[in-house]
Amino acid sequence: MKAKKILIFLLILLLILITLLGSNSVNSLDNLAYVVAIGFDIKDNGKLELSFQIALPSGSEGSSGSTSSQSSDSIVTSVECNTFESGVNLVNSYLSKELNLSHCKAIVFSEEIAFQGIGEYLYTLINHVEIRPTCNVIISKCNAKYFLNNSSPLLEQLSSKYYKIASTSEKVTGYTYNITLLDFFSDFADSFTECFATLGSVNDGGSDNRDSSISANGTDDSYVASETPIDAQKNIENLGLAVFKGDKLVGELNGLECIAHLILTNELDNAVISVPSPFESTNYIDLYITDSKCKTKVYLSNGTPYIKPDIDLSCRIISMSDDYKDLTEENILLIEEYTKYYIERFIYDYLYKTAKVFKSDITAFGKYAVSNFSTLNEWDEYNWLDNYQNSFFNVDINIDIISRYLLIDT
Amino acid sequence: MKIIKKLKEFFYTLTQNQEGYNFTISKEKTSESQPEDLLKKQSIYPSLEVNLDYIKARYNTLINSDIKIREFILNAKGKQFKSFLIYIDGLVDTTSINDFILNPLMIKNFSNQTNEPQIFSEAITNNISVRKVKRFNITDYIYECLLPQNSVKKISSFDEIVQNINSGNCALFVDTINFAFDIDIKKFAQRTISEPKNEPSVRGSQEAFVENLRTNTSLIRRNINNENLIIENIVIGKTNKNNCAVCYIKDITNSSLVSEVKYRLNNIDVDYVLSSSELIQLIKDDPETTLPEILTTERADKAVASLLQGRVIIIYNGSPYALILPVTLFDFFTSQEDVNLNYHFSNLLKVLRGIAFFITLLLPGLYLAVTIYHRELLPTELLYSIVASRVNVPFPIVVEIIMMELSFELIREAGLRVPSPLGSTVGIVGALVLGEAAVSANIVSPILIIIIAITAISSFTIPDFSLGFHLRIARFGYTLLGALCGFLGIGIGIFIHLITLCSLNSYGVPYLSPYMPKSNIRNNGYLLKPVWKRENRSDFLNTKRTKVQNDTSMKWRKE
Amino acid sequence: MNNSKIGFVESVSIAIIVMISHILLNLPNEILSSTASAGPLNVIYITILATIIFLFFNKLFSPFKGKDILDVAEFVGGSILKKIISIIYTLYFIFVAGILILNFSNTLKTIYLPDMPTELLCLVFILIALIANQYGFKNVSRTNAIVLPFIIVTIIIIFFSLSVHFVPERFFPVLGYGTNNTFVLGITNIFAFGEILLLFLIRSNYKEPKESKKIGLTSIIFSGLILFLSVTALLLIFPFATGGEGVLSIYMITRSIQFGKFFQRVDALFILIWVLVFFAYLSVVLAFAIKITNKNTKTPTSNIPAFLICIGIFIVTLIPQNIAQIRFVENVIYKYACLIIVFGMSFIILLLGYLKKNKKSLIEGKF
Repeated sequence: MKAKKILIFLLILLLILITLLGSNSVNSLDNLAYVVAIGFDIKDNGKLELSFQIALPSGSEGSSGSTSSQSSDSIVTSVECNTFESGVNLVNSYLSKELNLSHCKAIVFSEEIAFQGIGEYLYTLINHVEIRPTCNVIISKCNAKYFLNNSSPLLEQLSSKYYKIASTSEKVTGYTYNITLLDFFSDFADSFTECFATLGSVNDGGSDNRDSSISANGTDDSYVASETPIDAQKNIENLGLAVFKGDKLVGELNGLECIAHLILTNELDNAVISVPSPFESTNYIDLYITDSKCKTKVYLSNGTPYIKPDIDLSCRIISMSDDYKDLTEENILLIEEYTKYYIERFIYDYLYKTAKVFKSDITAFGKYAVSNFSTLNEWDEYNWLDNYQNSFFNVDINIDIISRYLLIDT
Repeated sequence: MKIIKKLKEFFYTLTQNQEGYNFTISKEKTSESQPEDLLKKQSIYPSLEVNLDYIKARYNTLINSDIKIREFILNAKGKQFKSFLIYIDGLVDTTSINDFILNPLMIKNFSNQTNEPQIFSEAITNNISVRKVKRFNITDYIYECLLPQNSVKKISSFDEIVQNINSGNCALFVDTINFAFDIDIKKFAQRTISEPKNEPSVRGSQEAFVENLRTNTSLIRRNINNENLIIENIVIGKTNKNNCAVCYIKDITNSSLVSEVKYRLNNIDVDYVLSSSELIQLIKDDPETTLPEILTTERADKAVASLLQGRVIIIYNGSPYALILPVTLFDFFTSQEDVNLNYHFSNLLKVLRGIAFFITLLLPGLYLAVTIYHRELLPTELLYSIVASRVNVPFPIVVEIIMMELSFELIREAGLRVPSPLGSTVGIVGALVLGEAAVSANIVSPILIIIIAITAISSFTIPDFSLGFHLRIARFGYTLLGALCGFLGIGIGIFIHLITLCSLNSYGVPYLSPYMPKSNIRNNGYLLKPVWKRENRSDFLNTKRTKVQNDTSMKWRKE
Repeated sequence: MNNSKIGFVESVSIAIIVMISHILLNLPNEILSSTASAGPLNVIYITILATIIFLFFNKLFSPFKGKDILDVAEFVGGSILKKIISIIYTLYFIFVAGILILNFSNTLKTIYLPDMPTELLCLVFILIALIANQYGFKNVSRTNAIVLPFIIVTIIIIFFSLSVHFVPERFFPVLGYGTNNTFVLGITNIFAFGEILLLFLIRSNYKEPKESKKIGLTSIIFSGLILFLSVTALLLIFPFATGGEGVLSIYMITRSIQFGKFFQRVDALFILIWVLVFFAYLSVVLAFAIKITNKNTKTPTSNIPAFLICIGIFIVTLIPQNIAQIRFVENVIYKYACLIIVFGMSFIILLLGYLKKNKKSLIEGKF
């Protein structure tokens, strides 16, 4: 009897669900177009131009197999519109399929739009149900549409995989930092840090007009995106960081400054830096930073922040143009001293740039400062982000060089 | 008016909360009660003629071909008695009848001729001989001297004697005696003990139950060397009076459990029960559920193990499966192989089976839910390959999956029903040709075939056949729910499933014991403990003796 | 009624599931928006407070062995008081269940069922609870206890998989909006422990009445721990400016969970578990409402109260017009209703009962 009763209820339930199915526009996964990346541009007339890179999953046509190595596994569609959602709708009406943003891997803002401020788009994006908060935010030095159009992967089949893997390369170089939408938004909303994003551009691959005078101090790590002298196919390149104040772009950091940023934020995994040789002025010593620790203390004296980062680095010499015999203890100490001076200099450069030029605390020193306050109201009154530009810095660096060579004596 | 009345009844049933049949295993008491003989006695007449007529009428001997009645003159101490033997041809050993029944009763040998009193003992003291002499009594004489048989009973009820004749005994009626001799000389063609076909085991014993009740009880008796093993007989069915044996170990098994089992068996009011599977449906707690509430096994060692744990075994005559009760859900995941392996291996297998359980139940439903509603859950590359594989498929995923599930069930059923030489052909045609052709014709996507295949393979790892059936039914439910509203639907399914599981009982043992309600999980959890740590019997069985072994079972290690 | 006795695990899980289902909606948010960075501190504070209050209540209960609060009410003011009290409790449960269903249905609608009418979703939830209650109180509580470990595991998984994103400095400033907000106004956050009411109502169902103290302490400390974990996770991952805004705060943070580069966006799996939690929670609340009504109307076998209560819940879900009203009802009305009914009314009844009992025994002692 009980079972009968429950069965009746279950049937009612099923009926409700089936009626729901009728009203539910069930989109099976093949009715959707999967967006790999979204680009935000601003037109001259002040209108927003949205670009969508849409993946074309290669169907196994007959028995030809899936190894058709076409370069275009994706298409880029762009639309001029007023808001993000209306742009999506316009594209939907143009395409036969509905756009699905749940597999979006990268969000690209062009420099122009970033200068004007991207706050409104950020709120739309973070509140969007489909967009995952882990997708990357890239500020493109060129047009975002151009950026997406040229994002054809060199070594990959799928452009989505390319974005995923490209974003991990920072772990090896340290020349840029992988910023997810969540990080970006959280930094944007936070009261003790400013936001920053990956800087990207299209590298023309050594084709024509490259301004060769950019590399000021002549090392390989002073480039920003699109400037690297690579001779290859035209492709996108992520190098350096874009610095924001509020929701507006205020400047960019090159590879070396990015390393400084990573050292100070404790995010550096590995990096290679070229230090001028103490023995011969034209030569360089390549150091591989294997371990970096930074302890920061922030004191407030009369309302002025006094920031004292304490950096501990372990490096390894990986190449050196001089003879290896010279690696005596004194020489190593000399190299250490030299490196220390070198790193100290570029860290001070970085700090000066952020504090005085950009006036933007992207290093999040604010979070160390916040422990000086006991309630939130005091902190809000102090207004750290505006006070950061008055900061004093005192960087303390400790370097350990472990040289490990295959050959010692030649 | 009728409709209104029915509606009224319907609403009444909707609004009333009946409590179901409720039996819980009470804590053990010590008092024991003897089962009383429930057979109705209808006494045998003293006159042979009347008896003969009665038997002939009852057995329809005029038209019944295999009922044999042998009338003869019984010779005892020189006296002659009219008598007859009745037996069923084919069930008895005819040579035994000839040599050991008819021969001693009919042949006039010397000792049988004289009518001298039987001398028990003779002592001669002081030339006075004292003899203890027994007076001649025909019944005692036949019973004691003339029937060289091991199993002879005096039965005065017709019902009982008829029942015994039906089971292969032979009855001897003698004139002037108002009871019959029931002589056990069963012999009939039967299957010999063979290997367990449906529950194979690599390391375990290779003895399986057969159809004969006595053979099966002997298998159990042989393996349990303890006089406290009780094998009680209970007759089930009004027309077809078939025997079933209730086995338990008297000083371990909870006596309220035993009496509940006997109570249920004795109160089955049906004309006949064909097999043990039919018996299960008559004695299980919740007849509506698709979940099995009684474990069946064809392995003698599994039955023995259950007896030693304190459970009750029912063996039904004519069925090569023993019923084990009470059970919990987790018993259906155990195979007898588990105890034969090192506990690491068997736990690995058990975990594997647990995973297979969930795959069997949920995979098609989850696939649907994820592809229709939760696409962001899929890793991007996997999504692309699914989309790519579906480019040319015309059907929605729901149709596709139902189609494939259906054809898989068809292949399975066909493989079972065709004569066994054709079985493999069905598999090849069904699985290989159909699957391959369906994919190359772009009717279904290859990924879906993989999903269905994994589900099917997982479903075969569940050791119990009837649980597999339940999973098959439930799987369709989950598929539907997943298609209707994604994870919400799956959630609905799981919740209702869970609450049904919670509400089930198997002979007073909650179905999810020992986890819910939580009782002591000492060695009866889902995972096996090492042999030397299985110290306690299951808590939910409320056994008379809770300890299996002492804390230090390996006493030799103490040295 | 012998088969509605429940054991230790079931009782504890009933209490904890209430806490968890509120956490999943926006209890941590509510706490964070009033205390900001002092949220975890406030949670510890109210947990201790709730423990003390429970111990005090338990003391008041001590003369009434194996009786629940309705029996005490009957003892104090006869059957009229009992009837009034039980009607208030039933209305409270109907209200709570309705609001929660509505809120969760809206959540589901936002997340992945955009075309489903909320009313029908609510109806589905109510039907499930009704089906569950056909199996009786005992089985509902058992199912509850089965679901509970899964949700606790998911909360722990959420906490630890998000810990890579944590910024420990967000604990500062320690006092948030100041001591006054944290410790004086923060007391009102004790409404989070509204589950205590259920503990008073199932006292008569305990298998071992002696365990009531143990059950209460375990459930309060456990749910305090879970609340602490979720408040901390929410505080450390988001800037507190945004923490107060999102309705689906816990869902928002699960979206950023990723296990390696391959498994991202696993939030849908959490939804599966949460759906289970909500079913369990609703069936528990419905079971309690039915239990009270049946006890009150002396109709233990009838299902009609269950139907009426379900209709009541459904009506409640239809009342709020928009999301702002839902939030107002949940954050303000629920909070104060809970404070008044659970901590105010029950306290008065218990105190009166205790005094009356003591007086009686004193008088009896004299004669």
